[in-house]
Amino acid sequence: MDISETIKKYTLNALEHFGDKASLEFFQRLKNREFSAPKCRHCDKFIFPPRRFCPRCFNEDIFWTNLPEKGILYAFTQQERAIRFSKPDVIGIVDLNGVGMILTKIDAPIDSLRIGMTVQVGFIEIENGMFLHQFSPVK
Amino acid sequence: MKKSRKFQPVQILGCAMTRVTRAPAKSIKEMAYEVFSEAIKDAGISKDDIEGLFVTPPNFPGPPSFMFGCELADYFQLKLKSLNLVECGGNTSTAAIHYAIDEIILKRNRINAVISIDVRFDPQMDLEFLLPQGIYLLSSIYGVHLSQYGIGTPLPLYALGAQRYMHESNITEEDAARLAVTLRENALKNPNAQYRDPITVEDVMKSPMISPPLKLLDCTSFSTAAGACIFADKDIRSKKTSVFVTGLGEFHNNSSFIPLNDSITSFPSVKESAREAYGVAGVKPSDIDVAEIYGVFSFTELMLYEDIGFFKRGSAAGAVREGMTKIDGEIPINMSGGRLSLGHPALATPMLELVEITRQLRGECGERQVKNPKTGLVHSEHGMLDGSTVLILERG
Repeated sequence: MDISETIKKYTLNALEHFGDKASLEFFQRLKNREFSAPKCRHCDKFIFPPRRFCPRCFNEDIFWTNLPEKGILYAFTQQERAIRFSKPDVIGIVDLNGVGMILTKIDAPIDSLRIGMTVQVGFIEIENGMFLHQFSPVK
Repeated sequence: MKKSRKFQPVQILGCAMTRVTRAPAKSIKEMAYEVFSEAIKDAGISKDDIEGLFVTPPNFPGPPSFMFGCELADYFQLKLKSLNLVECGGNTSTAAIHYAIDEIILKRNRINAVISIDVRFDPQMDLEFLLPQGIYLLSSIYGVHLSQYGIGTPLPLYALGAQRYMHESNITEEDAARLAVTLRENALKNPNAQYRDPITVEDVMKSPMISPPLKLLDCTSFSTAAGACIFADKDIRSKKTSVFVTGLGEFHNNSSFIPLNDSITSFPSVKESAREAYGVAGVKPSDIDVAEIYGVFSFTELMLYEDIGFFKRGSAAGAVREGMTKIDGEIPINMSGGRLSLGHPALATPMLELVEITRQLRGECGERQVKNPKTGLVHSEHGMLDGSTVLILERG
């Protein structure tokens, strides 16, 4: 069995099977270095995590637009027994103005982080060919 | 019991639980037989008196659970008016209990049984089978957005909450460690508990870092156990001291696995389910004589003591330090050893809590018996406190 091919295939299947078309599109846009999400034309609010419809008004009239590139670090930790990434596997919650809290990978040593820091979005390619968002402190 | 309630009391006629262990010593069906037969004996009834059977899946993501309830009914040769397998993460047992209680309040059934089992084993299946299954499991449990970020257990999410709690409430890692030690002291008096070696605050602080600020001894572990309970109409005569469920509250917030729409240190699901349960039972937090709380990490358990209404915001750590949650304290909590030291077979955990509180109210707990308790509380949750159930139990 080709392990990396298996992970790639089933991850993409899982994205659509356990998410929807918007989940697939979100990760496709990350691959193009676009940090974006759908917005509802009715309430003019971001839909995050992305869905095909607005979970507030159940309207399907949505459009994709860029998310804020900077946010405030709300909490962070490091998985000492990382299952997916090599160490250091730092993750955190970032408060994105107008969007809400998002869970993300953090690209910085844990000792350099403080709650309340301004952090900026970046991208990382992982071994299964997918791209993820990651945040690092603004220098 | 006081009159004029909005909630029809339902009797707990009998209950049973196995010891909590790391790996199973028996098969799933043998464990089911052990607790079901003991609960029936404890209730003083025959298995043919059971009208409804409500069961949990026998394992957290693991062996197939499809039609497991039907299989058990056949194994025990039961003829039933209700039969169901219920699942809601860590709230699974309480969801089955809720359903069993409702069928009695509706007067459709007079006697119902709930059986909860959680068997953990190290997967022996080959990688070719396990890998696609694992990817699907992570994506379905944690959702497509959390799972991509390496979330494979709830642990790092609770760690984020713990860090935030320290930031907001001036709680130290030693405060949380002290709670872990208190729970271990309780487990020393419980022969059913998984962890019974004495520990110190220093042991907790020096245990391996898992996800800061959570260290190994701040965490629950994988556990195996089963429990069963017989619920009955309040008018059926009990052989033993009568215990009644007199209040129930349940609330699920609009999130799964991390309440990113709300606080990660204080939880609407817990506050709302507790408020409802106290309201229908007509009791206050200060009326509770003994409680079992579903605290899966030391820091989180402190947050829960506050949300359930035992202590003010930010004061749970101080209360634990002063011994207020110990056996002779103002509100003895988790006399069983709690999730950290009794062990945490998640699908069965709320059932084990219900067994402990029932036995406490009957005065059957030996060395860890709280003095003359009349009112008890059972709490459970799923995800990271995204949903919660609170039960109030009273001695008849």
